[in-house]
Amino acid sequence: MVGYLQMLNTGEERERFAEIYLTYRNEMHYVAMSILHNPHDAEDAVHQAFLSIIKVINKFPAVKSDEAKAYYITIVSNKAVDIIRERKGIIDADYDERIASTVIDERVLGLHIPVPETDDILAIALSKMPAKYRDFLLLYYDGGYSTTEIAKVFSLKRSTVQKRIWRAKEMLREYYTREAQE
Amino acid sequence: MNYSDAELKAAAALVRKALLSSLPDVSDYKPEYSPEFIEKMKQLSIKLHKRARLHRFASQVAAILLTVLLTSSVWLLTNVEARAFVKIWATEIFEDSFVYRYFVEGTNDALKNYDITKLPSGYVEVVNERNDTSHFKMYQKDDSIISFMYYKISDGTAQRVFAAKRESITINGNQGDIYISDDGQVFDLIFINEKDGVVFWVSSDVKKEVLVELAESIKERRN
Repeated sequence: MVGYLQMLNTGEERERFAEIYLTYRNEMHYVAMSILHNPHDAEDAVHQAFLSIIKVINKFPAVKSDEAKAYYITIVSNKAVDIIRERKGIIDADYDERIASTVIDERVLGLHIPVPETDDILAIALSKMPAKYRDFLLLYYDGGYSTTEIAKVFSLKRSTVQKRIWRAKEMLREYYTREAQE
Repeated sequence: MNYSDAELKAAAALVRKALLSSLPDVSDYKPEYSPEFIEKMKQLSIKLHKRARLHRFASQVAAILLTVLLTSSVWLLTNVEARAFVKIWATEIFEDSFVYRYFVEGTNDALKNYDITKLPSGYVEVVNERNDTSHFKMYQKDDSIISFMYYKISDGTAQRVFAAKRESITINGNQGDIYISDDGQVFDLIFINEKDGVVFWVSSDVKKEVLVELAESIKERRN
């Protein structure tokens, strides 16, 4: 019984869902459109994002916060990229290591983040990484998402998320070294 | 070059700020959402609402289980020879809920097994938990849920039902009530078998008529 109760949500969640939806739907749609260039696909990405957001709906104490906004945007951009991958029949290398996703350039796929105006070389390096890896680091290290929560959001195995974060950190080390040398 | 997790955390916060500052002001961006999209989002909201209702139901069940366990254990120690029947049951009406209170001489009969014998097709059992004094089952079909609970009444047991409206009903000769949620989408049906000292509680988002049929189909399982 107790275990089952833990799976269930409180009555406040519907109100929270409505608040997130009304606050961010247009921005999420805008971001999805900038990646997909098709209103129907953009709606699909926004819907997919909300299906994921409700799994971790209480993640942020305040719906109207920089963190919440940044990570709802991150989630929808990743859902948009998933749609591109699906349409192009690309299998993510993290799902199946035998198949590398060489058909599409992962470096340009996803949300573009400008290089931050800072002296922090690590931040500059992070901003230049492929979105696929950068976003998992952002969710984990700044968004405060656990690997279990990231797995829920992207319907991945927890081990896949752990593996991708590990790879992302290795990749960041290379980017960091390169930035420091320039 | 190496970096620490603390450095990465600080760097990630800077990148998040860069992300936010790169987003244009979209206050004038008002996409025309398709009816299909609006309907899908509405369904998502309804799904959450149902889960919220279910949570409330399950919380009430947990509270009842606790009450029943406490009162029955005391009673069993002191009334071994007592005979079964419910002496009084009454409901109190509050702003958002109705509370049943039971005052009984009690029974030391074991709780029998009961089943809903006419479960609509497609529903599968997802929860089945039983102890000496109560039995809770839950059936699910997509987003629809049927919850079924029955418990042995003992002196001092109380049950609260959150609902806006109540109608009296008779199920197989037993007195009961049907409760309707404020949005009219979920019903709770409670009836009491005074002879056996058992309360039956069925809750679902199926139509009211279907819920009544479910309650009428509850039968003792003899095996």
